[in-house]
Amino acid sequence: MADDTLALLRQVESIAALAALRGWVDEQGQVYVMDFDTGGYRSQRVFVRVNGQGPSGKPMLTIHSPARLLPTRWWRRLTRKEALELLRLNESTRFARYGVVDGPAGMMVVVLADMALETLDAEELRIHAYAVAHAADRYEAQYGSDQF
Amino acid sequence: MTLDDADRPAPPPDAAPMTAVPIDDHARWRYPADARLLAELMASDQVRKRLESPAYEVARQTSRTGMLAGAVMVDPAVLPHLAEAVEGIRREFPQVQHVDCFVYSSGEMNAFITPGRTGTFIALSSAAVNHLDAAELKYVLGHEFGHAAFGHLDVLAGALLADPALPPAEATRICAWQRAAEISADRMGLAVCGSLAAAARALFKVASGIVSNMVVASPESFAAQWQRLVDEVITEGDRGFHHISHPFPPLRMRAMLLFSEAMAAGGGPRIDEANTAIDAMLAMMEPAGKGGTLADPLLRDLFFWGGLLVALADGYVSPSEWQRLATVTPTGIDLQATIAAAGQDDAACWEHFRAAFRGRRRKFSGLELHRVIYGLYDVASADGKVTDGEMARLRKLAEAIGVVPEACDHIAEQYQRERQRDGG
Repeated sequence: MADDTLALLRQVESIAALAALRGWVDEQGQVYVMDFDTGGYRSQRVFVRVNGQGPSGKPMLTIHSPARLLPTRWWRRLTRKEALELLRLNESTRFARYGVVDGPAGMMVVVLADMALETLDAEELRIHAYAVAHAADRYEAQYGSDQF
Repeated sequence: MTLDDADRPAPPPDAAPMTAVPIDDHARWRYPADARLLAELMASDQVRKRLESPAYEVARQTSRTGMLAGAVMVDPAVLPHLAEAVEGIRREFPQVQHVDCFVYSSGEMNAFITPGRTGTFIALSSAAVNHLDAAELKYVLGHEFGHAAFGHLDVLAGALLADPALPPAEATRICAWQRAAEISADRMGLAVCGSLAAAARALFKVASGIVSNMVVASPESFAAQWQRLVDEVITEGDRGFHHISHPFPPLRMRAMLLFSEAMAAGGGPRIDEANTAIDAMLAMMEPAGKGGTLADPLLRDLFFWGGLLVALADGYVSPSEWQRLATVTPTGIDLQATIAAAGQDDAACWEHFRAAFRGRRRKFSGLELHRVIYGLYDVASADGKVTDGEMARLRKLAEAIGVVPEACDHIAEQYQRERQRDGG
């Protein structure tokens, strides 16, 4: 891992500790990882990654959590109805947004939030991390799974 | 031109003549952090690839041609005193080969040095030539020759910093080196002019732009501005100085004063002490105080008063805790007396801790608050163990600065994990 990225993830680790959030730096994956108990015997894994620089050149962070995997088979693509549902969820969800990413295993629905590291305080990290974890878990629960 | 103005009042004599190191022993005049940071930069892939790039060479030539286009060469027939002064100083720097001196028209007192194709160009603004007396001008010229003698011209920092693709961490390192390089160059200026008073006047005139011959800038009073500046920076919580190429003028003056006093005292370990003190002063301009858990100068008062309270939670301060506290003791505080008084009644410590937190104009960032708790835990664990009493005190201190008490346990775990990882 690049020294700069590792140093930034160590800063995330420090702010997470200040927020009394437990987690660890995954050096190989270049992310900071946290697990959340979302209630009802469910849990959700949340990742924080360094995501380039903001307009002022300061490092930006993205908190993200996978919510649903659609394996690479043509009949498992996101339907029009499901895509519209994500847009509606984006409208009503606070402190987090929904999106899709294409990966080697297939299309994945993820929940994300962005923050500037320099001004990030403990409370802000806690609010966003919880919001992302709960939004992702809610969406996943809709499809009867607790994979993530 | 004022090199030979006999009607000017004589400058005050220097209290501390510098005789410990011969002037041509340039390596010993050099501020060690300058050499170290320059070596680190030259070893950086990010810097090296830029130094070898065609764009860098173009920038170098542009800087040279820009000067040639807007300046006139100092001809011994036109400005004999200046030409003689430059040549006289050049003889002290045998490694600086052919030197051409230029003067350019500017109301701002300034000077710079840059490598030419076959030698070195030194340029002075017309304001500098018009308003600096002979000794002050020698200081300025010596400073510029110092840049050449110490190899500072090998890196055209401005050209590197102008690259928008340069990673911010590298830019910060380059600026840190530039500031250290200024300290070295100031020492050569001091060596060449041989007068701390002249150096103070020159620095004051260049920094303030006041050109009056009535300027009375005593080295001591100029350097004393440093402490007020420190207080202001801490109160403001300002960390925006890391991209500035030159140290604060009072810092430069204080650095010269410390160095001059160390030289007058025979050099050796006194110079090491002066260098350590200068390292600490320059840390004020770093983004987050490098060099250790308690090294952030902007959090010094919180570390000290909070550390004292944590250490006293068990009723006494162990020798290793004492050692930690000594590194963050604010100026003017007698550590022994303060510990004795706090042992009787710690109310004043609480008040100082809260005042240091409340007194800050800028909101503390998450990283700063983490650094405070982490630093206080470091004081508590200095003697190898953290007792329940110390941990309870730490939680109370955390609450006082708006940190949830549970965070202390997480930070303690993180501290122990990192110590294990670092082999401590």
